[in-house]
Amino acid sequence: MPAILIHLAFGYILYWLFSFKFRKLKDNYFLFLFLLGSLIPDIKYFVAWLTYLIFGSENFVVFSSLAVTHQIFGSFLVSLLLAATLFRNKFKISLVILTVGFLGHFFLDISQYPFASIGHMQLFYPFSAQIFYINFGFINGIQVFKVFQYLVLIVAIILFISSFIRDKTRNNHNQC
Amino acid sequence: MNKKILAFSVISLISLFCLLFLYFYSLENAKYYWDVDDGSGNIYAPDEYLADNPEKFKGKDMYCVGYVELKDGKIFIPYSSIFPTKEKIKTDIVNPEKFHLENGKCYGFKARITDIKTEDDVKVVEIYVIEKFQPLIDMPWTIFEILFNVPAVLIMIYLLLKLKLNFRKILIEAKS
Repeated sequence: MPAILIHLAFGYILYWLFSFKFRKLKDNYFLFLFLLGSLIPDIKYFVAWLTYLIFGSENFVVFSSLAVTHQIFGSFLVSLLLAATLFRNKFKISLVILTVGFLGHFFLDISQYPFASIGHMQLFYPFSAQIFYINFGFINGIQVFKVFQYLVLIVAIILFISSFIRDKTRNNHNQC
Repeated sequence: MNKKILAFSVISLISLFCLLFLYFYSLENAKYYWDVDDGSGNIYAPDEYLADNPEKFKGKDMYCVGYVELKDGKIFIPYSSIFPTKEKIKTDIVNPEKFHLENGKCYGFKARITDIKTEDDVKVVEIYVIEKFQPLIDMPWTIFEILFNVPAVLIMIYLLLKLKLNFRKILIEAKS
């Protein structure tokens, strides 16, 4: 998987795009939901660590089963659970945003081919072994995805700085 | 209001039940996860499965990535993952002289599995490298982890604190 920061950066870009189109979404609450959604599939790592710390499990069958949270069905169920409990005041919109967030996560994961691990490409596991991938290919022995992921990070930083400056300027204008 | 809470509780329970079903279903059907062909003849399998079923994988092509480590005149790719037990499996490149490899640097490889051996409780997957891929940015794994994961955790904690999500209120509402 790409690093957590790259997933967050992609979540931020999605937030920016959606809040650009739907002004109502321009809020920290929705930003948090986009970022949380982009991390949902990786919940398995936290669960796996906890399982290992508590039970000391060395059974990789158990770990591979934890991958259910890293598939479309599992991630959707986690989103549904979160939206119906923590974010139930805005249930529908929260569910949609969390879903968009985790789909963004899957897009990044399957673009890592051929260096993505199998669990990141079997989107319909455990019901199907089919793998899905996007092959960006190589240029001069360098995987294009590597360039792409740093580009995502740079774009997210630029968008963040520009919106930060815009908000500051707007606040100053309002104060004047 | 109570009806709404009841509805959300039912949704939460259903999603939790479905997640548990997915987990146990995949425990029974984990074979999907173990040995998959990408359609171009490359195999995908967790390292443990690969090491436990050597006869299935000899002669097959695979992609792998890792930090190379010069040891006793051989080049190993130490496997790093969330479970310490996985460290007992190592990948040994049998033709390192064909490529210019530097100790401690991360490379991607397209390789053919030639043999899988057990040496002093360590399973060694021997690979014949067909193609080598360069990293885009060369940095030690620990620095990469700190640079790309710690800021992400800090961002999420900051947003969570800023939102002041009232978890206590949610719990009390649920009880009543």
